[in-house]
Amino acid sequence: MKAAFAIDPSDPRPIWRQIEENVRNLVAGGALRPSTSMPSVRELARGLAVNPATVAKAYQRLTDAGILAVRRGDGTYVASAPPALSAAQLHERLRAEALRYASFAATLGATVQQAATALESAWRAFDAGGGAPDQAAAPPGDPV
Amino acid sequence: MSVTSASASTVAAGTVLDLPAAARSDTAAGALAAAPPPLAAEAITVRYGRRTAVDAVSLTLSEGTVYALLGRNGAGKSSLLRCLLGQQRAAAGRALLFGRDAWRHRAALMARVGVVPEQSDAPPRATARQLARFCRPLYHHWDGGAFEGRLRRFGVPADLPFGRLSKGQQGHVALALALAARPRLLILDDPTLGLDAVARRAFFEELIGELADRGTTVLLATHDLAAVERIADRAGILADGRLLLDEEVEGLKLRFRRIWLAAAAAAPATALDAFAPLAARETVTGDWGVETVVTAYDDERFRAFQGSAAGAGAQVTSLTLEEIFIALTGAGADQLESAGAGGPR
Amino acid sequence: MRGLTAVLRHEIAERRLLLLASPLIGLLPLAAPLMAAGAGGSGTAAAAELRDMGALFLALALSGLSALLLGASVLGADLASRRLAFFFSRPLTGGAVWAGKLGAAAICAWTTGLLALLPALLTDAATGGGDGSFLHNPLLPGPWLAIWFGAVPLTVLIAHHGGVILRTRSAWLVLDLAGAVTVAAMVLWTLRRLQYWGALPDPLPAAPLVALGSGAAGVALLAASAVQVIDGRTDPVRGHRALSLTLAGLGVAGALAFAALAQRWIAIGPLDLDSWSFAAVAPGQTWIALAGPAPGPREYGASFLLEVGSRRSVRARFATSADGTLPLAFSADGRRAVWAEYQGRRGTSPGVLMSLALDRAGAMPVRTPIVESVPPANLVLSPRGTRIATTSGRQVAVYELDSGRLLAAQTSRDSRDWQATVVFRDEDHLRLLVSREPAPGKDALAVYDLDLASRRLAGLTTLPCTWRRRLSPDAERVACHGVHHEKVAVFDLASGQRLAELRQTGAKIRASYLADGRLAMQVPGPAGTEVTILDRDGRLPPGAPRFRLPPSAKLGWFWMPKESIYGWIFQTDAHRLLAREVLGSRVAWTVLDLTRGSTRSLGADGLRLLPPWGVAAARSAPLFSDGARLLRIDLATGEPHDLGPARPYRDPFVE
Repeated sequence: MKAAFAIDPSDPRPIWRQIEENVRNLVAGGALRPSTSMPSVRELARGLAVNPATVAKAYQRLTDAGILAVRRGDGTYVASAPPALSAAQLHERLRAEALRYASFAATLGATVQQAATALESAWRAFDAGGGAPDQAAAPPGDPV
Repeated sequence: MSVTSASASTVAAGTVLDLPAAARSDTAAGALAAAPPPLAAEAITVRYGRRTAVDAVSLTLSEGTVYALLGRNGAGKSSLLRCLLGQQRAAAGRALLFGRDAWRHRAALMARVGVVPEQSDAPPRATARQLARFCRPLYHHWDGGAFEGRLRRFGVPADLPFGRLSKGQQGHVALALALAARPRLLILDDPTLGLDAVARRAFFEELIGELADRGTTVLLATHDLAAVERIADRAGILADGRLLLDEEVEGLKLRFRRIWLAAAAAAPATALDAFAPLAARETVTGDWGVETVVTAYDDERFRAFQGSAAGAGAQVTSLTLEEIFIALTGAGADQLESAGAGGPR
Repeated sequence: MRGLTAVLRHEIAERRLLLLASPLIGLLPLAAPLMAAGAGGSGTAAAAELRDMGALFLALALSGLSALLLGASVLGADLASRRLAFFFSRPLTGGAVWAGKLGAAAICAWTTGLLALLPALLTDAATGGGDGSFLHNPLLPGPWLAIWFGAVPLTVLIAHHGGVILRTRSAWLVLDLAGAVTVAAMVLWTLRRLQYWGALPDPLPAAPLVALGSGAAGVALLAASAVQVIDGRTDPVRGHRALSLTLAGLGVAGALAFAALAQRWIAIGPLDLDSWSFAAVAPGQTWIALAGPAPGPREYGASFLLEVGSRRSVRARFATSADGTLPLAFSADGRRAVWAEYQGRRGTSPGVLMSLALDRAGAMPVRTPIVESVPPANLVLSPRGTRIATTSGRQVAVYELDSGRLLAAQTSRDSRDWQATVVFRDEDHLRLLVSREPAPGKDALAVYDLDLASRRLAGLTTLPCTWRRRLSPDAERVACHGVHHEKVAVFDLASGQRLAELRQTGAKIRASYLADGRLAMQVPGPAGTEVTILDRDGRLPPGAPRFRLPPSAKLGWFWMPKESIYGWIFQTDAHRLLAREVLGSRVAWTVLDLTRGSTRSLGADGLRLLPPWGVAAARSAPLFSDGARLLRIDLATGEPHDLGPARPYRDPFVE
């Protein structure tokens, strides 16, 4: 579980965000198929050694986004269908993440073509149904 | 939890989450705001002779929060905890548990508080089972089954005298005793000190299970920052008796960064002056370059700096909670200016 | 309560090994008789006694040791090793922790003792015991059982306090020591004061003192330990502070209260006495010496000199002689009083003579330089009060009062005691009457004259005066009774000549001198007592007054020192006598008019006459106490004159 969800405490992103993004990636990459049951908040929190409220928050956001679905008395599952979003909602969500990606790439000094190429290859890797791509999001390590 | 961030979405009313009601504080924020916080320190001061061990420390825990109280040895953690538990009289200020004075109402308040001390204080000749038998009649709810279950899970023999158990086992028994009373507030003083990795892991798993089941409010005084930074909602740093900061962990992680400039860069001193608005702390200079820790990091300003001639090639990394702690309380560390620190609760 | 029982049960269970071991240890004495039998066999009775004594000793030792060790550790060890927080982190009140732990220590100490005794008791019950066993010879009588029962928690408390004080090693130890010293000093000072004023005997009675002291100490220790636990909680230094302050505070408060109580007992006046058991009226009825039981401790008596007119009183500490008499003398002119007091605290101190000027306003008693190894049996002052004679069983001594200079002393030549009576004829001349047995059964009276100026003792005569001698006021005549009161012989003391012999066939005769020198003869008969007033020589003058008194009435004999030779009849003046009739607890007074030969009853029923002290005093108007008021009764008219409040006088001849 730890490998799957890979929480990095030195990552400046909040833990709930990391969980949320990891789940998204897993679902997008096909590692988590639709209607697969998810570990309970309690289980996941214990497994990751994180605050259950953090897991609950991530789950709540994922449920709101339509990626996870809650069945009463049964627990949490991966949604059977991808979230139904309007074109405007889709555009808005993509825009926010795209801005983040763009600023990140710019920081590295990449050109927009290099950024786009990387994006396309990642997408193709998802489509191929392989495992969750390696999170290369970690910033360069410091000499300490 | 009451963390807010830029892209937070409010939880829709009626959403079912598998968390107990106590943790859903966002929904019932209005109602709970009227109830007194489980723990509040109001300008607590403790003196031993001429030495001030705790200097006007104020902090408040809201229901369901996990609070990590960090501090080096001798920073005043234990004295503060003793005041909060009503075992020591503060020279000034008040310690309030559930809105009531901890010193005056200690006996009644302890019915809702679980305590895991730094040094195991249970009578060494009693077995774990005998300790449970002693505690049972003192509380309204005592979950004997849960106690036995925890002992089994920890692998602690229930009929061995407490003094003959290993340190890890003693800590587990102490936690099991505290949790069996189903407390609303848990106060732990460095509970994993001296525990090996396995025992430590088992300890935190149990604690997290309790949090998931009951949404207990937790005050955790510790050095074990690695484990804590994943569990704590808020952190406070105690140094020389004063509370240097009292802030959400997420916020801390967002605003602390380490920035490095290669030695080749021109006039590092002037370059780093540019960081003044980001509240840079001490600077370390070496052959490999110049490094500083900033406390009010901002993406845009950093990018601007990177773009400038002085800051070309500047690199930024984030810090773990441990690194933040060391930066704030290491040898020669000055008091942190609290401008801009501490997000809304 | 729940917390208290939980702590109690827990602490006792922690020490169950000790409780289990106790009856096993109690088996040891059972082996003793076997050893005794092996050593030579002394019978079952002695064996049983040996076993039971051994068991008792073992039980007490085990009990005491447990109390000490448990008391020192039950709270102190946890406090020092920071384990007390275990209890304070639970919903337990400080009181439950305190009472539970100390209570458990006491319970364990009691129980180990009882359990250690059990095997011996069971053996006695099974074997029917021997003479020395518990069944026949309760070695645990009630009071000792109670003492052991109380000593155990006291030991626990003391051990606890010692443990806390020594373990915390804080500066409050200074207060503990200072407080202990201060309280001990205050209590000791108060006790010495009480002893000095006669409220407490010397030496102090051990049992009540130990009981009271232990009780007070127990209360203080109990309170201090409670405050220490409830306020000090897990902080050893704060606990020690609470303990020290409570102990010092209670100790000082208790010592102050004790001192205040002692002051209340000591600062009393003659009207505070429960009753007057001793009263002596000075010549002229100006002053009365009083003594009686005082409110306060049992056996506490106080003595005073009360000035009748001004109601001023002076505290005295009358000492009694070895014979139980109270040495006290007034000068004939009524201006000086002398008595003996113990030099130090009571009992073993020498006697020092005190002098009071009765005619000076505001005068206080003054110590004279005259000290004798024991208070003398009798004191006699010269007519003007410049010389004083002391008599005791072995010695007569005459001093100059103000300087203390010894003017003359005569000691009995052999080991036998004598009875000496001293009369001052004037400031420098005394007459001594010494009564001793020259041969068994043959008493004789030897008469001497002592000249202080020349220091010469001149023997005058020896009289065959064997029984009940009565001396005339001028010391010239003595009336001697026969052994069976069948006759009275009157002798001239200077020459030894017998002047008269009074007899009445078939009747007993008593005679005594009046204050004016005449001899009153009483002949009791079935119809009453016939009283005839004769002259000094025992002769019947013409027109001598005669009276008839009811059978139970007597002319007033009053208790005087050395009453064996002297008893003065009370005479109010030249004309009147008082007769007293004791009827059960009632006393009736009759005035006999010597001039007219008539009698008159005084009527009042609760009147008690305050005895005049000495011949001179016997010539003045009498003072009475009716239980509440001091009265001077005009014997001519019978009218009482209220002189102020008084206490009931317990007349030794009535009560």
